[in-house]
Amino acid sequence: MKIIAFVSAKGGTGRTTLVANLGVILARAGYRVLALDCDPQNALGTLLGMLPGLRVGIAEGSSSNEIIEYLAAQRGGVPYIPFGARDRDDLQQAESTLLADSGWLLRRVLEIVPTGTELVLVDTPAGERVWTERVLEMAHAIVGVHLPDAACFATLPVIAVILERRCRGSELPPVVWHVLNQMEPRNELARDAELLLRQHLGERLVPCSIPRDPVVGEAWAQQLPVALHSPMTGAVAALRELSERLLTSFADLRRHTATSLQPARES
Amino acid sequence: MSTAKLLSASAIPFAGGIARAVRLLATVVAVVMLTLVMLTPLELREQVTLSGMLFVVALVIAHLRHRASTLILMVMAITVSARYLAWRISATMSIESLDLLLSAALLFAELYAFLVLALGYFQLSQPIARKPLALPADVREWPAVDVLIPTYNEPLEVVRATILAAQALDWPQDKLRIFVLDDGNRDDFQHFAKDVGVGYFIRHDNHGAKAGNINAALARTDAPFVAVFDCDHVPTRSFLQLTMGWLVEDDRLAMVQTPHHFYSPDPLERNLRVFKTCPNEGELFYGLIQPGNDLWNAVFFCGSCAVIRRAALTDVGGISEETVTEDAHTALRMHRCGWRTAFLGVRQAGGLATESLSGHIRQRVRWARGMVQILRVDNPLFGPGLTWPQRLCYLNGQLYFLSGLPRLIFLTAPLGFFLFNAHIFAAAPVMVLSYALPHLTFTLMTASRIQGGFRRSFWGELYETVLSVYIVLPTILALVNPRLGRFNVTAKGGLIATSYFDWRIAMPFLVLFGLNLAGIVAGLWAASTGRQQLDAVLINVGWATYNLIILSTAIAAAFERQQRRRHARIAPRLPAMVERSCGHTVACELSDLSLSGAALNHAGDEFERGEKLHLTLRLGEESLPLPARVVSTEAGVLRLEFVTLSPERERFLVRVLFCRADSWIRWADDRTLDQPVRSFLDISLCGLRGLKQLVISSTTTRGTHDGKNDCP
Repeated sequence: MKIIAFVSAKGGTGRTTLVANLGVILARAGYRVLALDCDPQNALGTLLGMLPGLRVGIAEGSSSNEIIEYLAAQRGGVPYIPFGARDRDDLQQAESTLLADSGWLLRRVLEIVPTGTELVLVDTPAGERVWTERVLEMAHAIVGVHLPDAACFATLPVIAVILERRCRGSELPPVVWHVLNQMEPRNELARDAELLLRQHLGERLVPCSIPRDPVVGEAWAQQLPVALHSPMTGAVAALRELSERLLTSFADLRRHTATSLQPARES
Repeated sequence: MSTAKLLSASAIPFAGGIARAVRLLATVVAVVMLTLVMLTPLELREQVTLSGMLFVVALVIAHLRHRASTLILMVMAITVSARYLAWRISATMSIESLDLLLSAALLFAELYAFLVLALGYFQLSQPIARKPLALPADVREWPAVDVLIPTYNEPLEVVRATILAAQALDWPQDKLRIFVLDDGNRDDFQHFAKDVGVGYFIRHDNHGAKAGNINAALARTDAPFVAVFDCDHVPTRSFLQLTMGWLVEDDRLAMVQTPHHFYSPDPLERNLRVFKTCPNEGELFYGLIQPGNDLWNAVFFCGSCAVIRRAALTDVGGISEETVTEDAHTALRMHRCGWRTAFLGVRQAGGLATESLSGHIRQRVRWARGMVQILRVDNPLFGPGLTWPQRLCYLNGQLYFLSGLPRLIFLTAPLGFFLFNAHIFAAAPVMVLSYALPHLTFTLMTASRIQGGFRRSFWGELYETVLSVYIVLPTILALVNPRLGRFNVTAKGGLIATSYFDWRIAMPFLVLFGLNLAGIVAGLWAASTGRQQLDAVLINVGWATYNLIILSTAIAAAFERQQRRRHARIAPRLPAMVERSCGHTVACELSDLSLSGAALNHAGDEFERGEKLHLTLRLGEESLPLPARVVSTEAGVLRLEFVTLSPERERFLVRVLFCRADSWIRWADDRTLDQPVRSFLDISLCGLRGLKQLVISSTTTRGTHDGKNDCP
């Protein structure tokens, strides 16, 4: 099982969209994927089809068995585990557990992730948060998500610090990728930003920047990952390429028969 | 020589002196024995038995994949051909005056063919597949290079891409300078050069044509290396990095030549509809002959797509201006001065082929005249400085262009029998067959084996036939007086608005066709009335029929097929994306791309004609949206036309189209080896199609074009 974490220094870069869509694309390509939401925004569920009325999640007091049952109840879509915890007390309690016990999250993940799962895609909160730190500690690959604007430069050092802390002294450092989301190739500022980012990050910045496309928002509005909503768009093609790029991090993964995905809501 | 090589391949490693003695002895013995085989006359039965046995042995050897088997085949073929010639001279020459005259003419043609054949075997005995040599790891050690792009009357549209691509060469920017050498002295060129930031030279007189143009530029530049590109040869970005390694390594190496690759069909390829399915005329030269020359250090400069060391050029007084093939002559002089040359068979530039058959022929007539001029003013057989292999390789290159007269003799030889009742062979027809058939079979078999994927059997005959009538006079004139004739520039980048038959260029082929056809009819008539022996008639009918096939293909090549596109299209496999004005993106597959537009396969969106959108292409890490308009949307294929591109975008497009290191490398990958029978059927089919078209076009209106309107 390989864990891929999606991080960014500031909010709104599209981590959740990336996790949901890559989940769909990888599952279609024949990999056993699971999406895990470690972002207190708890937004991944809206894309992957949250079962209504259930208080389950990685940060909830839910027992491992409850989560396993919850996973089993999902049909059709990419299996995912919500964040859970909605009020401040829950949140604080979970955070203090994470602070006190650095191995807690990994143990929990190993308990609940179904056997045979090959890839776990993890959404994280923006910036330096204890959740992010713990997720990065267990990640085999890390994807930094950026926007082509001036702010992404201001926040680049934050990501650098986070990544450096993770890699320092690690015997098996994670593979690090960066991706530029919502790229506007016609916008000079965006192109300059891409160029600068490439100068900083070199070939760790994947060449397939994800173009900005209003259809991604339209798909959100229908609570669907765009990869299911309009698979022929340029944005999805770029995501597909990104998924192939990420897979090169892991030599020993093998394809299975592709899962045919239905929009989760219908099942 | 081939025998010696062959033996040395399997020689046991003796000490130097002994090994040399053994090798010499073996060579002498082999030559003596082969000469005996060549000269011994045999009776019919014995001759047939010998030929049959040799043929069986050759078939077995031809099946072996080993390199030596080609050499063995060459030796066998030369032996069998020499046997034929020896018999031909000793036993078939008539004594009657007319017969003797015609017989001598044919013998002359045959001797010429034999000489070229033998030289060719020698030249191609071991083609070298040279690999690029790595440059020093420290970029500071890479030398400076001046890129020279001579132009005279080609439209700027053709030259723009070459200039932009030269700027995109992967080389330290402070060591790379580009110069446009404009002998046309044109304002738009000057402006463009200034806009994109390359050097621009003009001259007050155009003395010395292209050679003079380059020499004038050499006087005004100073980098130790000079890369020359014809103005329509667009280099890939890796050109210098791949070629310069050898030049840096070996300081007596004067030049590295790379192939001239054409991404648009030449007139023969287009008119006969064999583009990309059948190797073109140049592929043999760059695929085999230059690599063959490389073994003997006899690679010659081809005027473009090469890097030359300035010191070597200075040594020989610059590019030669005395002949109209300044390139080959310059290389010859460098070889005389002891410089080495090399050939790197990696396509590192792409260019436009000539667009009409008449232009194609004009270009080759210039080559022919120039090569024959060199034969006269600087004969490679004589003069100082050359090794014998070099002399022979140059000689073969020049003799090739004297093929006009021999070819015409072959095309008309049966007529002597049909029309004048001349007996060219004073021998029994069956005896002729017993000597001639093995000779022809071995020649064909060996050629097919040597040429492999670079030339189809019988196509060489077609190329020679098309040229023959047109090079006879210029080459003879050049032999008589090498100072005659001016340099002519090959027109490129033109269009052929409507298909038409070029009667003027085809007329000689039509006449020869008519004569051979009339000969066949007359011969068959004579045979049916008993005035001629049937077997002699049949041999000549066979020969004339073969002539008819080749001539009809030449006629077919004169049907100029429409060429409407301004820019040649190519199909790079690259990711592409369309962005519509509403912001929606559509993933596409690029099916072809040119400087003016693109065609894309897509599934999904509906597009409207005239809709404005952006096509985003990605090259490595770089991507750029190109503004375009929808031209048509049929069956999932979206055709776009670019709207005025900014210089930055044009530069990007040029790099996508032409500059990728692998742009042309896989071009001929799917070629199969030659199959003579298949190739014969193909060429016959082309000929039949030509005849059918001829019948159709002469029954309808006779073409209003006369071949003059093929230039823009």
